[in-house]
Amino acid sequence: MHRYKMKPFKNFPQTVIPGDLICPIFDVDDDNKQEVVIRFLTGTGCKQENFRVNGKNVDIIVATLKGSVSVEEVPADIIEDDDQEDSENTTFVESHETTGGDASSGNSRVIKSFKVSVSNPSKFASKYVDDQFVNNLPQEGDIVLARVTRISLQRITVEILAVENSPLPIDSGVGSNGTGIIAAAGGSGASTFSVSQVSADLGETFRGIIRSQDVRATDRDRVKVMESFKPGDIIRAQVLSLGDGTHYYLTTARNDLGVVFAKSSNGAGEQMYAIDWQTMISPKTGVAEKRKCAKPF
Amino acid sequence: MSVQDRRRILGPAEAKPLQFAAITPVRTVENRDDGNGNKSGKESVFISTDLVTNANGSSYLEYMDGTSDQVLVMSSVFGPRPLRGSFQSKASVSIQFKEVTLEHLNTGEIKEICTFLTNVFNAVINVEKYPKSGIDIFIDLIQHSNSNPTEEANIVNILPTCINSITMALVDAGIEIIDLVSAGSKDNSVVAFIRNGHEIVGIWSDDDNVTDISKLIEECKAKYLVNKQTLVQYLK
Repeated sequence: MHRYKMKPFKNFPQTVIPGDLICPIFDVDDDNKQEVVIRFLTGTGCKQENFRVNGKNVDIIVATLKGSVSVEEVPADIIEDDDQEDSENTTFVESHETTGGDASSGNSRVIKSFKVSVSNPSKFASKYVDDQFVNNLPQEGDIVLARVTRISLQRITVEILAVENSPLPIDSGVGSNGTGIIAAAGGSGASTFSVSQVSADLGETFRGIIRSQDVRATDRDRVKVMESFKPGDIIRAQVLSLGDGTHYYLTTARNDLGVVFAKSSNGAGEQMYAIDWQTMISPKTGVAEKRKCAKPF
Repeated sequence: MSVQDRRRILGPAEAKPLQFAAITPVRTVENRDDGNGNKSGKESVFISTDLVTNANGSSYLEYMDGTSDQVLVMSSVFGPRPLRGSFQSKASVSIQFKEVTLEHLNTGEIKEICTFLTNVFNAVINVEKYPKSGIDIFIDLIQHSNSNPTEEANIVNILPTCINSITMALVDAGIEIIDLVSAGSKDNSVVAFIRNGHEIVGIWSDDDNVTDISKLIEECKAKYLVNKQTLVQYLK
């Protein structure tokens, strides 16, 4: 990841272990004689912690993982709302910092935000994935791959197999398998992990629900679940919320979301291919079935 | 030689003895905190991580006192795994302690150790990062030979190594922790620290007559700093 050559980044540690201090949450820099306030946001692998230094409380970003530090600029428009509410906080912190003593002179300040994150490239990075693994948990807005386990008129129940752009941890987040210590509720395959093998019977995967209203964006009240998904289909969906205790709430109401892989005749036939957004056909038998397909490209 | 021995089952006539390759000693990375230990630099720690293939992270620690004290501990970390039941916004950490060879401790003591370790690591693991999940930590006491046979002393001697071992396993697993937690022991007490000894995350005391608690903490802190330095040395 790009490392910035600005002054405040020079003191950044390259590699860290948990507990190492990375940077304060605010810093200042002179960019063409204009004062730039740099705000650091916590990304993956770090946490904002309060330290008491010389009688003052200072918020510092500390590493929570072993790995290398990367800094990424966050475009201003994304966090504009956030900036507004924090602007008072900004001046407050500056007045407490020795470097920010002349910052309150009132001329226009530029606030830049950077996301600091720690990643462990050696263990978890894969050449197929450009984002770093830190943990595999689905979060709001993430795209996940899931398998349909049960359908009803109102909802589709799925098990989440993987989060896109984050490689699986060794035990694939579902426990362990084979010899050795087995986690309390047993486990399924880690090194032997494959999408088709993760079992729903053991109930070890993170589960999700797609309500029938969330299947597609248009005509959402007339969705027929039976004509959208079948048990066994592999789907691509987006996480709406963390949901309740047992299920994440997912949606496929986007062109690029929906069924990715499906077999005909309720899984007895061969793999089908999408010919439009609501039809898949089996290339040998020519049988067409209805699905809510994901746009592949 | 022409007389065939019919009483024994012999191998084929042209059999050759098996030839094995010469045994080459396995080289391991060792980390010894020479000179810093209290007992004239004889304390030593061996650390190894990522041994258990199907765990997310694991560690193996050998702690050797200058005397006959020896603690071998292995920990493995599984998860985060999905939890069932009501919604949990934070991870629930569970720690299982087990003596895998000889069993000296009774179930009540093991339960106490588990509760103590769980409390320590709940304070250190960034549990907000793992909603709806459980993190399972298994810690196996492989060997503990001790010159002092009283059971209280046993627990106090193994706890710092257990804490170090879990910390290393968590780092290996890539579970977010706010600092490396380690501990020091003195007499019949163990104090676990983070942030270079500025914060205490756990106190275990089997001592009925502790007179000066701040002195005890200072002495434990000194040992904590040595232990932590060893972990840092291994990780860097």
